[in-house]
Amino acid sequence: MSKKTRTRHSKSVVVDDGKGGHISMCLYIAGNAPNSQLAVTNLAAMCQEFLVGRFELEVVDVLTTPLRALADGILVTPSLARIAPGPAVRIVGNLNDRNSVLHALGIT
Amino acid sequence: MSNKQASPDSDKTMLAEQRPAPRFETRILRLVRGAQERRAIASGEVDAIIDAATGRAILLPAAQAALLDLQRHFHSLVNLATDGYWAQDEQYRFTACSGLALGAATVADTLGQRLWELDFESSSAIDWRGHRALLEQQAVFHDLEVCQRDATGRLRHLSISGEPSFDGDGCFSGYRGITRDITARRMVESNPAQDSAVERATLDALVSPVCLLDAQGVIVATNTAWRAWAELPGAGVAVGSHYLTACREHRALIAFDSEAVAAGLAQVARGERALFRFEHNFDTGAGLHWLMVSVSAMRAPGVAQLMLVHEDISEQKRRARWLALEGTVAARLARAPDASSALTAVLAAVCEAQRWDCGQYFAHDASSASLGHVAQWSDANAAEVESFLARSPIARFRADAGLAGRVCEANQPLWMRDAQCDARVASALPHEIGLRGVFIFPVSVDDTLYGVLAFGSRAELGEPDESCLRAVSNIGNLLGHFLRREGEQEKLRRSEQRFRRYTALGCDWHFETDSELRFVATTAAGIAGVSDILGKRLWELPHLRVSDEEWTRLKAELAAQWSFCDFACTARLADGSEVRYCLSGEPLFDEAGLFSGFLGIGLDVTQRTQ
Repeated sequence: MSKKTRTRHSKSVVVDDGKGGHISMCLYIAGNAPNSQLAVTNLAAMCQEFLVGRFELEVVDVLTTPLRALADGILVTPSLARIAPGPAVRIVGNLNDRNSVLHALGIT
Repeated sequence: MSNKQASPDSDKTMLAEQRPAPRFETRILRLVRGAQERRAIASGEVDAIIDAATGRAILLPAAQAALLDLQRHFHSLVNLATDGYWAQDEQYRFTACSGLALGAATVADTLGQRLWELDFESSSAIDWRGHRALLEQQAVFHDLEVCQRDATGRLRHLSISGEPSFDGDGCFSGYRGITRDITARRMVESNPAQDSAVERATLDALVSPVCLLDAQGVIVATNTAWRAWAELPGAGVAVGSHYLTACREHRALIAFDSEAVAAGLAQVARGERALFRFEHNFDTGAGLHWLMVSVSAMRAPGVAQLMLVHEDISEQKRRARWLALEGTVAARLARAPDASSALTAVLAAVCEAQRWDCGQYFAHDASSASLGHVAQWSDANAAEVESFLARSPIARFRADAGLAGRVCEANQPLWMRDAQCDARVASALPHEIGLRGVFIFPVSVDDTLYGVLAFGSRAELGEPDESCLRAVSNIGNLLGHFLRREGEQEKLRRSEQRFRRYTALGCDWHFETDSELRFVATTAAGIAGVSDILGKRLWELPHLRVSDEEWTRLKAELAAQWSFCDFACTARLADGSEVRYCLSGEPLFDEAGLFSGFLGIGLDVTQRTQ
């Protein structure tokens, strides 16, 4: 089952193939700034490789909705937050360090 | 996930932070407590920091520079792709407008106005109600087309597209969009009509009748020349009609193998041959018209058409026919044994070629200034004409009387389309015998008039063209030469006959041999009768006494085709008396220069010898 939702200032993608191990994430970015774009690219690659069909991702642009980031306790972008399964995990930076990211997300 | 342009809020944010401060990261690190964040900032992996005090995102200098660069790049692309961009507030009033001024002379006049309040040429034609409904729904709209005049008065077509914009709180803040000048595209789109007009003008400029057929052979377009041609009696094949069917149904069209033509057209349509040509003719009532039809394919995407060109080759055909007639006349004159046969043959040749019903020849007698009927020819199917001609041989009239007299006087051809309606004809004869077309022309050589040839037709005659006049002049000239030669030959024959009579009177024996030296003509001689002489050679005649040497010498001279003179010979007659002859002869040669015999005389010199 696939489902896609979209709000005006954030993008949310829900993908679930019913195999379990579902991960819910939120990526905070600053528009098209270089590190933010790099983070998006890196995360997309990892999702395609390790989380096919079992992840939910919301992308929040702090340039348009800074208060949303603040409310979520995010102070710098890019930042990736694992929301579920708990406990919550936060990764800061452009996600270039693949192993650290996968470890933090609990994938490896 | 897709890139999204920075909002005006973010623009403000960036503009506020454009002044770089020394050790910026060091300064803003105070805003960040977490070690992870501080490490990321230190390693340059952070783009923005959220200021908890103001609730704003603060871009780091590198990210800010990159975003500004991206923004410039984006604007550059927008400028490349569009002719202007604009923004509206939540009341749909223009707050920004770059590039083309919308619905006004200047951009300043556009600002503050709503789209439907601006001055567009096409405003009344636009569904503003529908557009406003879209705006109320905050929906994206695409390619709203408006027309306006530019500063030079030229009409410009603009396409406007827009999307709603929202502020940081997600509240509707108006519309942003782009404007594209689509004048050129509209011109291109209108080009088919222009192309069509150009095609039409090009077709009309062609002198030959041209029509276009669709793949089914139906005429879809014609040019001016075609329409003019189609107005001719017997020609009308118009737009909308199937070309071949129309041709087949048209009875005036003859010499037209429609099956072969249909096959040719199909071959061109299928691309199996580049060009197909055929010839056909039709009768307008005033004469035959010949057409050379050329068919070629016009290939364009989605369009399969045949271009069919009619080339009027009537002039060439008529010229060829007249030339052929001249040749026929010359051949018949060459074969004619005498003038009478020649005249009849010429009359028949002209009538048959031109489909005229009758012809007469009137000889001109200069001494009596009169014209006399000499020869005639008529079509076997024209009974009235034949009956009239049967009465004509007695006709002799003054050289200045009647239509033939006019031609005789002027030495020029005379033509009548319909003698029954022509004021120059006083007689009721044309009505009686149903004659309409009349053509009379002189037979002359240099300035000597030998007579006139008069032709009649039960159909109307078309006006003679240049080739016709030239041909009748040539035919008259040929016949004139023939008659002159015949006259001279007649004189020669009479002169020869007189000479023969004088010769016969002046000699005792007159003879002629063939090329084998056998007598073929002779007068009676004292030595033998005519029947005893004909078919024999001189040395085969009985009673002649000539020494062998003399015979040998004579035979040698005869064999050499030399003339001989005073060949003496003696003949002993049955009563025992002797007669002495002196024979002389001249070789004869025919027109080709070949030896044909001897012509000779014999003188009785018996008494002179004694």
